[in-house]
Amino acid sequence: METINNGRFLAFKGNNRFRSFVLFSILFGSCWPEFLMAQKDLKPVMDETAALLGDLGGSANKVQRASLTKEDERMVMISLTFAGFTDKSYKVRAYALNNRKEVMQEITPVEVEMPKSKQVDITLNLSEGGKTVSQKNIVSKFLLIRVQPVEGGLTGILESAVGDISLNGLDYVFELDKKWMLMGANVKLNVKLIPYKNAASISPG
Amino acid sequence: MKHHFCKIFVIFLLPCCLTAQVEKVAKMDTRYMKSTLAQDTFKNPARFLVLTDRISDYVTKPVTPPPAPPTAEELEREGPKGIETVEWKNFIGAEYPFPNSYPLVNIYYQMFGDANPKSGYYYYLPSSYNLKWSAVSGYSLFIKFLSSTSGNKGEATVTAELTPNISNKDLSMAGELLKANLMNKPAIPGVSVLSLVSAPLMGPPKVSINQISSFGIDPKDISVTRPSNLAEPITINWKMSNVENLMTALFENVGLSGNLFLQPAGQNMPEISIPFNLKLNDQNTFGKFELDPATWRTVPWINSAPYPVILKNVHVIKSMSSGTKALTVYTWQAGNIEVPPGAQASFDASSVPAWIDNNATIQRIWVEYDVNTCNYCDDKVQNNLIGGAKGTRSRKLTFDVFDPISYSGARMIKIKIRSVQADPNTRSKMDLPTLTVHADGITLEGGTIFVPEGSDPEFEYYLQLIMPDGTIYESDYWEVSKDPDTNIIGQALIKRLVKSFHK
Repeated sequence: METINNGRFLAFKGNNRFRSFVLFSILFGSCWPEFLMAQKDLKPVMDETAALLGDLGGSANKVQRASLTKEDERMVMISLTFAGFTDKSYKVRAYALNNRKEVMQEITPVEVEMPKSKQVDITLNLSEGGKTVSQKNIVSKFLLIRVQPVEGGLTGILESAVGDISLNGLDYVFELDKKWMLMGANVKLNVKLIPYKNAASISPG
Repeated sequence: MKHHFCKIFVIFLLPCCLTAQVEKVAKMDTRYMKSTLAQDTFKNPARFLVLTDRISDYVTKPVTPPPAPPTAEELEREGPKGIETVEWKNFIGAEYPFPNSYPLVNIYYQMFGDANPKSGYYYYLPSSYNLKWSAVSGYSLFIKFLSSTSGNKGEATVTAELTPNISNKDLSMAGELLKANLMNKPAIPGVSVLSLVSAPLMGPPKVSINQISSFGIDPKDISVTRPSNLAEPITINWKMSNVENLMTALFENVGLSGNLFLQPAGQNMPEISIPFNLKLNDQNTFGKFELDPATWRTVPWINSAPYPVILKNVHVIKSMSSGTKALTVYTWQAGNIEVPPGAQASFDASSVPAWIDNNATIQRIWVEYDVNTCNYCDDKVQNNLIGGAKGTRSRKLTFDVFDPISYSGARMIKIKIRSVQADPNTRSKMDLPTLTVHADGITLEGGTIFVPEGSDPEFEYYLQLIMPDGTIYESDYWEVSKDPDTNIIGQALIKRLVKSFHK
């Protein structure tokens, strides 16, 4: 029995060898272990505070490395490696900052206790509020890592009262240039339609 | 008789509102309506196009005596025979350069005439099949993991619904194109009514899957249903030994593709191969985003697809009463604006004439778009596909905390948990949220694992005792558990697991 193909299918068949190659490459590529995937180190930003309190200040306590280990359009996972911080227990807070180095409210800050291994993974997630926006993205520029001793007393009470203000913490800033995708019904975009060639002048007849 | 066809006009029988119109036509000239046609029409009017030669002229004001009407036997439908080729491009006008592969009409470019030309029947086939998706129920792709007793965790059965995406509007437009095609050909004597119906099939379609060995599919393990009507979806089912490769192909946007070989019933009918594609992130899967003429200027359009889409153009397709084209497409550019999932887009359509919103010649208004890649969206889709897969059970982990705090004197105890089954795709070992114990005598929930059918639950956990002075004692190894409900955190466990801790 004869088999008939339509034009589209012939074009499709013509690409079969290429598709096989692509499929093979992808399936073969997926077999590589994850550790072969390169992590991206975040570049430290040496502002005045960091220079005073961080490396240039001669402190043994520092964030040795901040590596971007995983990300998608609404999340980053960052692996932090600390040096020092052996004298007492510390907690680590992470914030995403905009280009004015303000904390971005849309990205939930994270707080973890610094483990004995001095290595911790943090995940920042985008969580939109209820307000309507007319853009589909927001952009972060920096990552702020704040390390503070775990302690109660007056300092702890004051910090609880004033929120994000650090009274005795150390701040470390890294570059985190990332476009975060907003989504959901609160995103309202305007689309202006432009006639293509003679479309504007069509008539019912 | 050739001029006969120049005078014909089209009546579209829509399911609800136009049934009355069919009745009217039937009453006007029942001589030309076979009983079978009338029955079929009323049974499923949506699937019919009826073209008629100005029947009212015969009934109300005949100038010359009409020819003797054909007998019922002469109009009898005998089934498909021969091919009436309709090249879409020849009869669709468009200033916008659509790619050849763009499916303006989801009907196969060739139609079959009936073995009895006087019957006026034509038979259609779909132009392609794609994975069925709806905004309400998502993808019609179901993966059921099989028992892992063979040691092969990638064994699964997969069921997918493939849809030709044929709507009443597609049939209506195909009818226009068929009419235009026939106008350029010698008329068939005695034909006054044309009907476009689904081609009957000899049997279930045969299936060919591209790169089938990569997926561990034995052709013998593929089955497919025979649709009663080719406008309806078909279901394809197969067993495979390498579901991981399928998942990789789906999420790397290669997909799974192949052909369905349809054998129409009829005289000397050729087998027709129709391509199919299973892709998650593809405009053919999501189909045309049609705009409602009554509301599209005032009510924002919502991207109900699970991926961001890039709006390229808004097209309007119009029936033409004169000229060589049966249909013409007009286009407005949408500026390639990306719309994230769930987001809304309001069209400023001031440059689009208002009359198109309520004009009977407008067949369809729709948005042409590209689908963008999105890792976040992939993860969500993946979880929905596999997490909710039939046969895969989700189990919550529970930890009962007896007396570890009072026994160890720790300020807190961290319980780290991990499992391959934390990944709904069973692809890699993943961490579940770490639990923190501050007090004895409580019960904690430790997240959810996804257990493939035939497998046992399996996960591991690890303790860290954090003392008031900051000293941390850690487990010597990960404790393996197969019981999601009974996991006791007490001094016995600490003695066994955290040997470095001495009271």
